[in-house]
Amino acid sequence: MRSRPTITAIAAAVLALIVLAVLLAPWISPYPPAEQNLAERLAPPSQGHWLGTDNLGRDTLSRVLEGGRFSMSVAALATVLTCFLGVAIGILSARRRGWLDEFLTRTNDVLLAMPEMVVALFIVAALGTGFGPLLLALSVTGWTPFARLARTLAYDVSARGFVEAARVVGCPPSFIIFRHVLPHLSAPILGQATLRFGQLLISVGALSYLGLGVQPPQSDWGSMLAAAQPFADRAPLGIVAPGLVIFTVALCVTLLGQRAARMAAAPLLLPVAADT
Amino acid sequence: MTKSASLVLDGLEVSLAPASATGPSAAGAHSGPPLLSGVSLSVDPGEFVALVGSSGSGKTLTAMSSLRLLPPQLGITGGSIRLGGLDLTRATEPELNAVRGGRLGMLFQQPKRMFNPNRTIGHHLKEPLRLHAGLRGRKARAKALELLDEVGFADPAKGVRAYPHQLSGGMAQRAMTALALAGQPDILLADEPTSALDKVLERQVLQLLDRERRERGLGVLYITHNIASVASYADRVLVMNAGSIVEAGPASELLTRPSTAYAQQLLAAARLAPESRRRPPSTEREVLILDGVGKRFGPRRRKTGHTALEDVSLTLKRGEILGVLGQSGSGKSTLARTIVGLDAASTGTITRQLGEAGTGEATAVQLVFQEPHGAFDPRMTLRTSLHAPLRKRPGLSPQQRDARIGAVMDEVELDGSLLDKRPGQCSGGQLQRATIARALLLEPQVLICDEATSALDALTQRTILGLLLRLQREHDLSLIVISHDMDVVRYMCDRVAVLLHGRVIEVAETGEFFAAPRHPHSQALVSAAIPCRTDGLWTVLDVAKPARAQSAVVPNVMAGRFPGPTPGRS
Repeated sequence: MRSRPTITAIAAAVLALIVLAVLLAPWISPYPPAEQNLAERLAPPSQGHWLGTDNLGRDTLSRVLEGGRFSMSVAALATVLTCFLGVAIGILSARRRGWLDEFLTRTNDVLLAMPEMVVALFIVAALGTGFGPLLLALSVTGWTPFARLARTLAYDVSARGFVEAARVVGCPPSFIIFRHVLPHLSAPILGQATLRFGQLLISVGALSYLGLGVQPPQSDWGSMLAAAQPFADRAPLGIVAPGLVIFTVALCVTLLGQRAARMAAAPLLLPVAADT
Repeated sequence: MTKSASLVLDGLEVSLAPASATGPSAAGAHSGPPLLSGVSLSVDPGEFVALVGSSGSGKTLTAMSSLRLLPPQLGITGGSIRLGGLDLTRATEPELNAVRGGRLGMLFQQPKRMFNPNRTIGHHLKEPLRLHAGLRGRKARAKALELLDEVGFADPAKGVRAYPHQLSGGMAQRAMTALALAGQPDILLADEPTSALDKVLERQVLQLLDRERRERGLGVLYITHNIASVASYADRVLVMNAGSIVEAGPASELLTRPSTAYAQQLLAAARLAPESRRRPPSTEREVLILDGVGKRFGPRRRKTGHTALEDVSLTLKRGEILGVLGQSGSGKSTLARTIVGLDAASTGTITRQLGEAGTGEATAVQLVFQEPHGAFDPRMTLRTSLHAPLRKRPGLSPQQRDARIGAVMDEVELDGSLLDKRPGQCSGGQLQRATIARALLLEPQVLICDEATSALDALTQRTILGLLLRLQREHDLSLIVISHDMDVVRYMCDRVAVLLHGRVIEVAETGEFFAAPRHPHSQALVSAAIPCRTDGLWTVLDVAKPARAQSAVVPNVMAGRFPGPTPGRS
């Protein structure tokens, strides 16, 4: 376990590098991402094109950098959105109980029973492609795991002695929720959120791969994969580059999330004194 | 069955070291003082030997070394453990496995934790029957039924199919006993087998062990804190302190005339002096009136719910201490929760007449919890936790709040430096004081103590009870003391109310109640509590022998839920 901080540090560094590069894309890209150069189609890596070019002679590196913006911002926003929504619904369920809890939990069950991708396909098909519809598509079902986790944990915490003690001394519900319940939820929710971010990143990629994400000439990692697939034998980097970036970002976020979750749980791991 | 063997420990020494492959010769090569040194004891078949001592004195360690089940960082560095002709310190692992759960049985403190929650009791019983008695299939099942019948299951067939969570604590300990008996042990190591049980169940389990001792010559090594039960059941007593046996002798002698200072101290701590300075409440003013209070859990319209309280009518006068007695599950805690308002009463009314000092009526009734570690958020420092109740008080500056907190900390005799610690860094006694401090912050008029001391050891318990009595006097508080410990109630209370299945079956003055309980259930409760602490050990020793000579009949206080061992079986 001694190597943990090192792994965390590496993950943080790699992620920071990728995020920075993606944010600074307009300034550091070697070429405009949509610029075609049909003379250099499917070129292998070279001095001019570090990651080669695609079937229209566009620079792969520039497109990876540009595509990250869309993929990562949709995934991050959807994670944050669903996390807040889910935790709020979960806590509401656990605190109110009764018919509202029943209703929300059943709704959750119904949504969980539907394949996320199919729901997302429906929504994108109905509302059209683009940033907004994609975000909505991923959020409609995405809150359910958060709600489920938050509800269970909030139920659990609410039944513990210290919450009852707080009620007896007259602490208002807001105090109980924000000072007692939420901090106890933070570690597992954080863990869940980072896992979710990785999944969403891949979902965004998958939807774009199916042509439901961004529209050409704009790029994102999923659509790049799709576009490069027919030419995989001649320019394998066209697939490997966006795929590897998706993988790396998802992995780094998960590692960082685990670390953060452990730190959030740390106050509970203090030594216990004995009665003497 | 072959001849029964004695367990003999001779000069046992256990140290922080890897297991002693080289035997006693390796002793002395290790740093640090041994955890056990020179422990010599013997348990013969048919003998009931008690091992007493405060927490951390090495009692459990002695039992675990006898089974050679020490944690890997500990090793036996000297002495020998013999069971009949077998030297357990030199036995091989297969030999040990044949002995463990076989000729040498073990009962643990928390029976429920020792069962696999996913397996039925029958499933658990099958294993020792197969390994140690060679029984399988139908024969094993028949034997399992027989064993459960023997330990007092009213319906053994149901018991075999039951999962651990379906059993009450007492039944789980009986099932554990059946499990230990399944291996037909010569010697049973019982490590605080009753400390998680209430008095009635404790007595049932001890009587069961005692019956096994008489009928099949079981030798029992009974590890306990509870001196009263030692007085009633043990033949011999061993007193342990700091890893060695400091005194040993026949129970009657040692308990009446302990010769070492440590044993004297231990026995003295077990006795609560009757509270002589209690005077009756100063006024007749009633602060709390319960009228026909009932509480049902579960769906409202269907009949499947559970009635926890039914038609409870009680009053509490200002400055009075009311004791509430009852077995586990009788509705004591529900009553406390209903009075403070954690649960709403389903029927009836609770009237608070708090009079002139009605500052914040909602918090004028406060609760002291059973489990002090659970009553504080493990993430918060005590300061944050204690600030919380004052947040809603208007017109208090942060400095005034700090001053108020400092004042109550002084009142409960806690050091102010503790405020910056988290619950995990505090002891149970400290936290229970902090719980009381938190309750006092709101200047309550009624303080409900729900088993407030039962999670604490005897010495800490005494200081907390003393603190509560002092606070009661100084603030003219009314207390409701909920407990299944007769001694606590007798020590503290002016009046006693007894709950049975959610109903109040008797209310009486304390002295009157303990002298002549009227309801049969109250009589059972009073007689089940081995009357030790208040009357002294001396009277106990007088009643000890007749109590043992009687057959194992327990007044059927469980009223149809699960009857005690049947008298006709012996």
